Amino acid sequence: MGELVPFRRIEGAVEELSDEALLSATGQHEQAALGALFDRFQADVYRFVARVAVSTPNDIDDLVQQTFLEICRAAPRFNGRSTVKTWIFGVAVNVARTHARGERRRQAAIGRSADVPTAEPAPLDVAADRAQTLARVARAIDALPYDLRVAYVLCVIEELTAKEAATALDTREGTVWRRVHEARELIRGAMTGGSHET
Amino acid sequence: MKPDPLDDLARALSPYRPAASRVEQVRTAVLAGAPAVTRLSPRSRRPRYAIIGALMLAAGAAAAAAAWMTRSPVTTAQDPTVEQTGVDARAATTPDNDARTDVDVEAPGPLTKVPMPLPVAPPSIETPTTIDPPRRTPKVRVSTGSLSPPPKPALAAPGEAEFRAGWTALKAGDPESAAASFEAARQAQGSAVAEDASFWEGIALARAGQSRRAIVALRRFVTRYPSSSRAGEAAAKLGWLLYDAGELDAAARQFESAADNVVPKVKKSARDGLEAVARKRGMP
Repeated sequence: MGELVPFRRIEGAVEELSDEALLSATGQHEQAALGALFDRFQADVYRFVARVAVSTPNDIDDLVQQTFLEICRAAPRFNGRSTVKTWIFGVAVNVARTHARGERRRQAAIGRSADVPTAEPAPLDVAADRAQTLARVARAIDALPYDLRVAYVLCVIEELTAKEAATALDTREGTVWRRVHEARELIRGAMTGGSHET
Repeated sequence: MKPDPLDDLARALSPYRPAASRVEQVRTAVLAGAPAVTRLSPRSRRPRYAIIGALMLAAGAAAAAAAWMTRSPVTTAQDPTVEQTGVDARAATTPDNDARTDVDVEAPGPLTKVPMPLPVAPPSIETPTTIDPPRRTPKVRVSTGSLSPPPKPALAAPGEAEFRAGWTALKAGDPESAAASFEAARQAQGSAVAEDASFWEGIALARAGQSRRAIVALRRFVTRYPSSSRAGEAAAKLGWLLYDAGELDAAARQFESAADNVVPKVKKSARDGLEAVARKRGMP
């Protein structure tokens, strides 16, 4: 008898654990690790989901909850080829995409999309009140097609590199570049008079 | 990525900040939902839903048939004949489904039970000296107590007192008493710590040198709690006990089941075990 294989639980403050360690422990069904992972990343997930899902606070709460439950389920499949944060964004992207599809179907079913008033575009005025400008930017982002919006939010607001965003979106880096470029053009168009809202 | 003036505006947008109470509610819901999520892999969920669907169809068909037979305007839920038929139909359709469900229901999820005493220095699983011990312990382990201790129940849960006694005895170097206490904790009526007690009973017996009983206890654990987060560790330990007992085939099966465990130490131990079995088999 010689080698010691440690028992699964050892003492350790949460701040000492790396993101990867927390995710690994979450994959081992460690609720405490899941709680710590939630505490560490909930703000990122909330911010991202709220920006891409364009939904009510209750829906956002649900999406965040779904994201972390999915993280819990998928944690054993984390292969370390990206950072944990990027991987979590990838999970959130999938959850939000499913929600967006359902939302589109629901709106199509009740015929509401045609009734939604589009924002009245106004010329971009550098002297305009900053709050108004920001509100128009927010509306323009909200009105982007889903794929463009997600790429733009990941790369610009969450400041992931195009490579990281490509990993999260499970697509090619060039595709991310193209989507961000198109998103910028659409936002610019909405800000300067055109509208891409449908 | 090339900067764009629009990007600065986008980044200046106020991020969504939910109320702390909302975040706490979501956190609680996530932790409450996690055991069910992790216990059911997507692969196992699909057939289960299919079975549930089949049960509902069978029960519905049986209820409709019974309603037609009795030609009664009473709703099926109020008709004892229909209820009985529904139960029979369910039992006859999937005889093994109830058993599978029972296992899931009975198996307590890891770390969702009553608070348990955790040692400052964790106990260990021992493996033969032929394997070089790794230098460091990976810090992927989490102490339940230090992160988010669950609320203490007003009264001790069934089996908890026995479990604490076993733990105290094990830490005091009395594995025989510990094994007896863990066994009592496992067998306590409605034990809330059955899973942990079952695991530690096997470990304590092994430390007490009672290899045969340890093998029985650990076999019971890996059979009863195959989805436990400790199943891999138990399998590795069991594999080495079987290896020492000369049961190479059985040992190899246990090592194989833990060879891809996500915990590096367990995986290494299991793979070392497989190599040891292969070496021993190759001996004249």
